[in-house]
Amino acid sequence: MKTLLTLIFSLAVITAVAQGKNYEAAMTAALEKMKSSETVANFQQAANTFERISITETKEWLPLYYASYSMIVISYFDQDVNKKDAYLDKAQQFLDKAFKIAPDESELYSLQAFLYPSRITVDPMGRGMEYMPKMNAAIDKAIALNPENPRSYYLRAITLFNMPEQFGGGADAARPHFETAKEKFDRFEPKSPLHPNWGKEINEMEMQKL
Amino acid sequence: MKIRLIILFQFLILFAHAQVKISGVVLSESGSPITGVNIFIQGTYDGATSDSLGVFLFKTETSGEQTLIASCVGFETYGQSLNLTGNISDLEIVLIEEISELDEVIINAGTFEASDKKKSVVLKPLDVALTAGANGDIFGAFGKLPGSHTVGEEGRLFVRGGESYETKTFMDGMLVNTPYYSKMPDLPTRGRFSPLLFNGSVFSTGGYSAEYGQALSSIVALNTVALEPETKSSISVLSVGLQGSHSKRWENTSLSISAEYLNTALSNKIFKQNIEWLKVPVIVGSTMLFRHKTSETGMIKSFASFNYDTSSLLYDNFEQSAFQEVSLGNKNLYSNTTYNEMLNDDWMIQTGVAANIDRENIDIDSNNITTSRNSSQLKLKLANYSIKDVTTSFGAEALIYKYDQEIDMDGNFNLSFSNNLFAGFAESEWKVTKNLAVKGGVRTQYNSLINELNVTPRLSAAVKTSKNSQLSTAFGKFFQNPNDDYLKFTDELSPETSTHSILTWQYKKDSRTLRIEAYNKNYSDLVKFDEEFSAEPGNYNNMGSGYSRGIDIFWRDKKEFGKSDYWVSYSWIDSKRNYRDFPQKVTPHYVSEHNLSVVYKQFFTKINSFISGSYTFASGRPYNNPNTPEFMAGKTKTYNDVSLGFTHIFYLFNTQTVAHVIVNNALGFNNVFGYNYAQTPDNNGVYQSQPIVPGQKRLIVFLLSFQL
Repeated sequence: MKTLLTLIFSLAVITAVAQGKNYEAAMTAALEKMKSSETVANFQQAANTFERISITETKEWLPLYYASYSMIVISYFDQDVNKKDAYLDKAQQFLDKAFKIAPDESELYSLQAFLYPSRITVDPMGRGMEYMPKMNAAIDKAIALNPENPRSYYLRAITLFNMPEQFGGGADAARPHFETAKEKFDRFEPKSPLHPNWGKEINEMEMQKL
Repeated sequence: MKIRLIILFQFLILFAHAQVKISGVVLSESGSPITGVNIFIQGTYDGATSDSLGVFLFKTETSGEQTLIASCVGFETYGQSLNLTGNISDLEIVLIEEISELDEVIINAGTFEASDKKKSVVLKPLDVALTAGANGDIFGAFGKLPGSHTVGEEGRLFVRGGESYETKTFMDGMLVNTPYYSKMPDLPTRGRFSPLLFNGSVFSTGGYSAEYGQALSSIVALNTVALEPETKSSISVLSVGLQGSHSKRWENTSLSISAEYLNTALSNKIFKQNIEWLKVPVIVGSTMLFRHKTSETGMIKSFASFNYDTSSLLYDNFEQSAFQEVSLGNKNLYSNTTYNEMLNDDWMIQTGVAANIDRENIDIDSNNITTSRNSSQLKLKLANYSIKDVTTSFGAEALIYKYDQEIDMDGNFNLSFSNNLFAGFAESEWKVTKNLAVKGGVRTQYNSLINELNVTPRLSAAVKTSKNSQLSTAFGKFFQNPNDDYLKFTDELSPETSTHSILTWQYKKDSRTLRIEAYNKNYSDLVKFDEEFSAEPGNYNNMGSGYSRGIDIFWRDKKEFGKSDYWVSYSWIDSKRNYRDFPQKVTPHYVSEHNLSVVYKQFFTKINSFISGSYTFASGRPYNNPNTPEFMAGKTKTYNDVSLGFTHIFYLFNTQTVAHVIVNNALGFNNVFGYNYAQTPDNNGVYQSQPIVPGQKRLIVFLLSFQL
């Protein structure tokens, strides 16, 4: 009897370890794929992989984060405004699920701030007034939750940089935010290899244009 | 025992490593491959994404009965059970396209909607605020849509052969009894509310929902904004006054207040007036908007506005060959509070209470008329979504109305009445298929004053005629109480009646929309009388009748940001009625057979400027010339107007500033709205006349707005 219990127990442990390893391995592989993505099809594959992982791993926000991130990236690729909104609806769905798992995660608010500008590009005149304040609120919340999250500063900088001077944007307005972002990126250590760690290179590339 | 278990254990591990291959193709209903589909075994990571040919292939270590899922943006999620004992190849998965809002059939006969929530609408809220010639007035903007007539001396909405009182205005579902400022004779008025208060509005030119009643022709349903996005303040300096507002945002609550003071003294000096003002118009107003989010789906909205306006002029009363000193003063308080919430997945509640107090003082050569109109309303609506593709709503409302008029003119007269109205409505919309929707409703109402109970049906349907086009139809019967001006003399009248039949064809593809609508409207029970302003109840009856029929055409081409955006609306109408003191059926004075509006907008991103221009044309309107034997046989010349708007955004003292200029009638057309005739002929037996013309030829308004 004892042996039976031991066996069952060890079986359970082995399965759990296998599953845990499976999650990390699957996420690592998917992240590699996503990072090397260059086309809509690549990002779609990445988004699908993360979605599959998220369906099984109902307590992890990271798969949802990357699924949403990939969909947002796709939305920036696609020029068809109707499709753009459909991708963003999907991205928002992933993000909403992630917020339920980790309501106080700074990275999720940053990602929300990354999503809104894509909504604006669908209809800048009509949507700018609605989404700009929402985006600013998301960045503020992301910074409040974790002042060391460099992506919040980068997103603020890039938005200001792309905004006409007459609306309070421009290179001069954006510069200090890029610099803060650079500082934070240099110091940033992700919690784990799976945690969000993007933006450093693009931040520096954009700074070259100032 | 031990050995058996170890064997079992090893078997499990072995089994776990057994892999099967699953491959196939994903197609749409029309047989074309779908790329980017996520195909996987439920509960595992195992799956793949379909390639550009719709082909997929993956391996899985699971076995036995499993569920295969295929999901993709724009398609309904697909599930299939599979028995995984060996490799599965040549699976063919057919995904059904999700009905997106753009492809969906929408019942829209008679309706124009301006909203930023729905992608299918042809108007955005900003269109209402930034239309040249509309002067930032909601009713002015809707006046540039097909179905409305240009009636320059009124400023109110006249829809499809209907008088302005036949159009009712609702805010968040609640009735606004006095939506316009009070009005001087022969001069236009405007709406009391800023278009920026609303993020959605519906202009229904006929056949509208059973939720709304007491409107023979048309309704304007305005929906106020939700939570203010952020805390901010603004101050605007206009050539005609000052405006200021402050909004404060908390987590789930926002409050904004605004105040304005308008005075046309300066503007009247610059632009020559055809009016001799004794006291230039002054408007003082304030609004309050309170919002509180009670849950993810629940919201309490509270709105209040107070306006005071006053003016005085020397009126050339040509009919009586006398100059009269006419003074006008109006105080208006409107408030409503509404509460909306999804109670659960199936039920939504919408409820509200509103109050409107309006007091108008008219002084004609020191003879005084004071009119007060007080109304309060209570409304409850429930919507049910428990049956798939069917939305049913029903509700009830009570409207308490008190009218009181004191006339101090050759003696003291008091005319007053109370009318309590109780109404119930039920309506159900069924999306039969992706291509067909039908809606049926009924409204019943009871009036305490005229002691009548009416039941009216409403029916509408829409069918898709191709991927980008659809046909809609609406039919309904509508009742409206006779105007206060008659009810104050008699309660022996019945409600006036109209029936609407509407057929609409709409084509919408990418940036282009074309709408063609034909309608027929029959009026009966219209109020007739022998003599205007007679206090004799027997003078009034419901023997009047009439009809309107016509075709409205709307074309809009809205290119992406920075490119051109324009719309053209044209209406042809044939309308005649025998009502009031008309001796026979004729076209009333406010109806012009042809109405055309062209509105053009463009944003110049490089210079942060926005221009908007509009051209309005209306064919001549009938007027009665007593010098001719035929009634209403005269016709004014055509009406033309070119209006321009220019908006520039820049930084002034580190503050974001908007400069805005509007020019009305830029080309200076001499428009004539009609003629006033002397009551008695002159020595030669001729009735002399005087044209009714706009208060000024051109109007220019400057605005500088600072975002603080």
